[in-house]
Amino acid sequence: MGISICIEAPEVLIISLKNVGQYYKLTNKEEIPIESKIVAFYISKFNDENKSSYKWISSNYSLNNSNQNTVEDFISNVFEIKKSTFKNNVDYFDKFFDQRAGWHQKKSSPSLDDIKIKFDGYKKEDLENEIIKCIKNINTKEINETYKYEGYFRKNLNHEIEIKNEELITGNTKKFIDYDGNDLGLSIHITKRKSEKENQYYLTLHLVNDNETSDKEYVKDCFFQCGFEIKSKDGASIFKEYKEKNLKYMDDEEKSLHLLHRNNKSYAVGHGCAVSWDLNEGNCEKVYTEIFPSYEVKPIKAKIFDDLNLDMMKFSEDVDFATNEIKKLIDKYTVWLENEKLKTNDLDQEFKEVSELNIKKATDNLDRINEGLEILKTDKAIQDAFMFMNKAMAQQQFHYKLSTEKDFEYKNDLNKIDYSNELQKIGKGKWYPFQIIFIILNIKSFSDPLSEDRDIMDLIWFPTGGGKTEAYLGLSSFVIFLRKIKEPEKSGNAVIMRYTLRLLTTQQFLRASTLICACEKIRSENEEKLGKIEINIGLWIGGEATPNTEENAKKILSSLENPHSTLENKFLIINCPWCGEDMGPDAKTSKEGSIPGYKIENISPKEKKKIVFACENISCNFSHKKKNFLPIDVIDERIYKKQPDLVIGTIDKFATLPWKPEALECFASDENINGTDLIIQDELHLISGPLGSISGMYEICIKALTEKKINNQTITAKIVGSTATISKAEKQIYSLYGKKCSIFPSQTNQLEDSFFSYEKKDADGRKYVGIFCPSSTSPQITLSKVIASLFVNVKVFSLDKCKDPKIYDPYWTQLIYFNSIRELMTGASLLYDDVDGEKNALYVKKGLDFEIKQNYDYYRRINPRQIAELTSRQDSSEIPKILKRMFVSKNEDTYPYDICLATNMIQVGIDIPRLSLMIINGQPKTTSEYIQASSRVGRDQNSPGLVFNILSPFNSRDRSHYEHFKSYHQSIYNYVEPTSVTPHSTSVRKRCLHAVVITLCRLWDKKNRALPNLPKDEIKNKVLKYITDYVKKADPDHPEEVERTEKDILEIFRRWKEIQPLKFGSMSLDQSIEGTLMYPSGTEKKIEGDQFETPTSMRNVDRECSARITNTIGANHEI
Amino acid sequence: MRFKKKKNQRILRTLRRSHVVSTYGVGSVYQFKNKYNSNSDSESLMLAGIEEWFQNVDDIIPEWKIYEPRLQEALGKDFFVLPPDYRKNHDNPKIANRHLPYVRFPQWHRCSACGLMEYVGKHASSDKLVCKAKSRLKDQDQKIQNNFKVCFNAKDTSEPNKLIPVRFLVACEHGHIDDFPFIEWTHKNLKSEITKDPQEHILKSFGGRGGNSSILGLKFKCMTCNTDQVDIAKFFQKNSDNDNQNDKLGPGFNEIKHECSGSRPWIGENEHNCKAKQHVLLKGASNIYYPTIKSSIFIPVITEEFDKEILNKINNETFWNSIKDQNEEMLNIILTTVVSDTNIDLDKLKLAVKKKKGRTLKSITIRKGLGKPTEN
Repeated sequence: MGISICIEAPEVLIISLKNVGQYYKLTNKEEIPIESKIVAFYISKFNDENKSSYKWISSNYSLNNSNQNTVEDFISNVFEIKKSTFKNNVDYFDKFFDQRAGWHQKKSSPSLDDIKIKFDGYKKEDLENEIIKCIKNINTKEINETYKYEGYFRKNLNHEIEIKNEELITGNTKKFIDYDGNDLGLSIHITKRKSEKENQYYLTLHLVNDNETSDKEYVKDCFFQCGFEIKSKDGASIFKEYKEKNLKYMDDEEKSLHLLHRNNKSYAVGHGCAVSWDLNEGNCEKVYTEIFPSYEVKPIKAKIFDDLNLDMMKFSEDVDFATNEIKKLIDKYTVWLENEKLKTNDLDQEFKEVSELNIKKATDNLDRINEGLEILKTDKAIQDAFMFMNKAMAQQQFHYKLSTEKDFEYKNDLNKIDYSNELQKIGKGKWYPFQIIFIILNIKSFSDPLSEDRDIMDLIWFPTGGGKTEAYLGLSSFVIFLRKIKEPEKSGNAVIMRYTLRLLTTQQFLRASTLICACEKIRSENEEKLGKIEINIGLWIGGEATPNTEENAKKILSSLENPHSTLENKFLIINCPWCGEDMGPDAKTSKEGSIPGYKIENISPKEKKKIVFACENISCNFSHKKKNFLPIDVIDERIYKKQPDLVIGTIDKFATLPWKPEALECFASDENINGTDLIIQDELHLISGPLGSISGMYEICIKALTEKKINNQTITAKIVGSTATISKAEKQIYSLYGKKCSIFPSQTNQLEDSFFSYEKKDADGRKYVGIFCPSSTSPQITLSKVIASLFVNVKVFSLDKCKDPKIYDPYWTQLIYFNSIRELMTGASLLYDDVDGEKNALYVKKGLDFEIKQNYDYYRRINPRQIAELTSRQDSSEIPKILKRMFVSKNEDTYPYDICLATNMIQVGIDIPRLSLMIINGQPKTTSEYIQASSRVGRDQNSPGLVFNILSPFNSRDRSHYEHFKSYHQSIYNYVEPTSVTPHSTSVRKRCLHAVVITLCRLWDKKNRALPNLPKDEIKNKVLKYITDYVKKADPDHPEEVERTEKDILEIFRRWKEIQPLKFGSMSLDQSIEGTLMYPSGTEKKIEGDQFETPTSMRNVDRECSARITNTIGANHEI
Repeated sequence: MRFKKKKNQRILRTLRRSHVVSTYGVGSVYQFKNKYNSNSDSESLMLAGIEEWFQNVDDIIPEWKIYEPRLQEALGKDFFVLPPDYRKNHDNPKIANRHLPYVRFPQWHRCSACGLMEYVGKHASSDKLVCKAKSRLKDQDQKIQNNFKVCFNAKDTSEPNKLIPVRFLVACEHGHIDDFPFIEWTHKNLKSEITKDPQEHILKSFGGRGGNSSILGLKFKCMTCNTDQVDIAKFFQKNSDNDNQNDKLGPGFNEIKHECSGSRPWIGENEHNCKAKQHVLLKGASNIYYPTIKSSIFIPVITEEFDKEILNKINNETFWNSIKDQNEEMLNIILTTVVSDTNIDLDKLKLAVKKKKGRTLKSITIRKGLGKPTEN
């Protein structure tokens, strides 16, 4: 193991070992009387400074003197045992009793422990009487217990060596010498390298075991739990920053990141070990190795100002009050920004330029914020929308808590809620400054759609759990209300929220549903202003999660009514988003033939009966008794028809656009329909790699789809994004959307404080612990030991030290993160085998007799029913159930999951406050995934997160992470990798350019929307121009791609002409594709022709096979 | 906790199609998870041989067939099949609800709560994988019952505990794989003859005793015959130097004179008289399953001699297979009908077919240099 450091030459360097273990084998096959052990215990226990135990024995048995040797001689004579045996027993009680971790007895005899337990409470006099008895007894030569033991004793080595300045030469070695002057067998090897600066140089020090092993007695030649530390003899802070990158070769973005993290310096790097260092007022005085490195990442929180009242309810009632408070907030920001400008001057020259750039960006944002506030002060419609939004957000916060948290109940009538009061009670109902400012920042994009602001992509960049969702939910409701005020008679989709993962979508859907319920309630109370058209929400995700057609939906519903049905619930809503009443087949009130909450009703006299959601709670505003149905749609067919104000969808679903003209109608504008105004792309960092590239191509369709005309000018929807981890966002956004990007809140000079967010240094952060076991037989063994140890120790803790479930509950459920399903499978089978065994072994070591007390409450065991799995192997209908159970806390009679196995499916969006313990098996592929995944735990301030990162010794990347553990974690956001998207490259064009062409043709050539006639030249040219213009804008560095795109489009039209299709084709895998223009990707082309292979999803989706146990094979060979 | 009346649970275990081909091919053990169950209880199943996948050849729809002439020739097969994918509702009964056949392996299971060992057989369905302590121990001595208290004394209303496959098995160097001989090994010290029917013995497994959590810490005991507790450490010992030639079996297997059973669970038949060396392996180990991969490169005929339509025809494997073995007369008839409603020139097509058969098409000559399909 070694350390590399950068130091300023000290006089003398001290290198000291840190509790290195050396083990000595002891074999003792004598018969030892138990009495001698009692004496040993006595001697050990009362061996104080005056040696009183030795003195008592010497005086009581009138020995010559009371020194140790004489007493030991006497005792060994009395009991006729070897002196060393007796000494070992004393040693055992002395030093090792509490340090038995490194102590191993082959044939363990509990007698030593028994003695300790039995006599520990005795007073000195009582024990002395006991000893007198013992020594009398021994005269009768009755040996009442004998045992043989073999074992190892640990010796702690803490030796030091001094290295003088002139001895620091490459290749020099220095040996550790023990107190007697003998060679210990350990030495330090030195490598020295020059540095740019004079009087500074790089040193690499290695601790080397010089012993040569003999075959049999190899233990004494080994050293265990090795570690060493380096410091200067005079205590000076000689260590300088260990730089691994040179600022000279960085671009502005990287420089900016280094500027933000410049206070977290790294002082050393480990070789085969982790390193850490101690700082004293910013200077490093000591560097040392660590076995289990750990680092606590402090939370970054939204800043709150006590002198400002950003109360939603107040804002909703009094707009002047709101503008006043916001003005005060902006003034504060202006002052702060001025101050930041001054700070720039104090920076090192290398950082000045980027600092100025950062401040410029912040000032630009400030200008936009001021403009937004000005509009809010003057424009009546904006004021109304703003007030309604505040009201809706306040109600949303209250009702979301009501609907998700089982222990939060509201007893009074739901119609008479005093929101200000209730929200105050639960500590909600206030904006974080960054949330309200973000909305103000965006006002102009909607009040004046022709302004430049509309074409800026605004990206919220805030650490996880900071309240991003709230910010864009607020903006969404603002947009919805504004449209209703301006054009109350028009319907149409206002906001699209796009997510990338299925799991995320369902949980966010429930939250957005609560908001829309609030909006709809407000609308119905203000029909004179907001019109008579219902505000509603639609969930637009894949057919395996929600029903695609009305017919299919009815089929599922009638099957759910039968309790023996095996069909899964595809309606996803399992409680009322407004009051929390249970809904669906798993609700308590569920009976045969009727499912609470799901109804088939006549909505309008002209139409057929339809499935609607309505709450069973009579006092709920959306109760079925009042015929106020929940404004929620999950059936695709209905979404196309109704064009809900808010559509939540997965990004993959947009691949269905070329296939389904109905979907086009859902978003496009018309005389009576107002097209989409706002697109929210959550977790933007996931739109990267192959998915990002493909979706970037489809972005062309989405842009065309949301186009509408105002005063003869074309406008498109505003795009807003959010993420917690992103690097080089500007480039990514430019190639995806062809738009400039503005990051909010703007970072200026340091990460710890951006005015809107700050690092909360006094709070408990999330603690990361690195586990790296090169000596373990396999990484699986390491994993099972970690799981078992956490499993048992939390239980033991709850038994011994802490009976309050509130304290240990956060650590009761282990969230175990795997990097692939394949690893998860191995992990899952470990649970029942290795973990189970390891756990039993631990119970034995802890002295818990698990055979007798085998009830679950006492003896926690691996129970398949207590283990959940959150992966793509899980059916969508099961996921809400698992999430619901994850919220259950440990209590006397409740049993939450013990273990939850998960893959990258959970890396975004899951928000379960009680989870605080996580094991990550292997460093995830990207830093952003690592941050996102580990952010799932410790979301509650009262139970800080604990993350064990098990790094594989066979993987050089994992090893490097271990060696850089501290420097990596202390500026972890600096390590987020930039993502790459290449949306208009050859391979992407080959896969889906034709899909974009077909979509645009179907969109603009309305006559031929259903029939695949080749469009007229006019349309063809329009499509050609539109796509090439987009590519030109988004990809300015590669003009050749524009030419190639043009060529490809012409080729697509040529093929289209040649195919002479009769129909466009269908996404279904099983229909005949004769005469079609397209066929779904991944199916076999059944007939010849030049048809287009068109994706139905933005990812590569492999088919699934199903397994069933055969009963034909080897039936005759059964034993 | 409130236990609701349980619905009949639907069972669907899925895996990706590409995994079936190489990573978890025929004869490999995959840990399945029921898609419709939120718990993570996994079952170990082994994929049965391809001859079990379809009842007869007609069941294989063209979509699942792959033709690759060079590989066909090298392996002596008519065609290859894609693993049939699972489609729930489909009009064609040949396609709808297609499952891949699996057998349960290993067959020895243990109860996760009380340690009762159960030999469940190859075909046990998932709902049978629960501890049967209650029914099996009903007529047993109380001493034996006491050993399985957790499950035996459990309330009738509570759900029975799950069975878990044992974690090790026996494989030989000739590729046979079988369950560990638990009955023989637990009774190794018993002088008298015993029946080998696993239902006649009540075995208990003890884990993690004495602080040893590894596989060597596992102990087994037959309660019916009151045998000693045995561990399986012996199977991992190396042969000592002075072992004579006859002791090829290794220390563990030698002690019970256990020879390889020749078992091939994916086929369902045993090969007899296998004398190969056996090993006890962990179920999850990566050295259990090695697929044999044969690969070949497919190069379509690309030549400027013929135009695209003709090349499309002769490169289409379905078409090619239907004409390649026909005699001159039939070939003429087929080709004439093929070109009848297209603008393909009949003579040119005939020439192309002839050239392809005679392997004188330009790009076919390139193939010669590539040699036989490679073995990976």
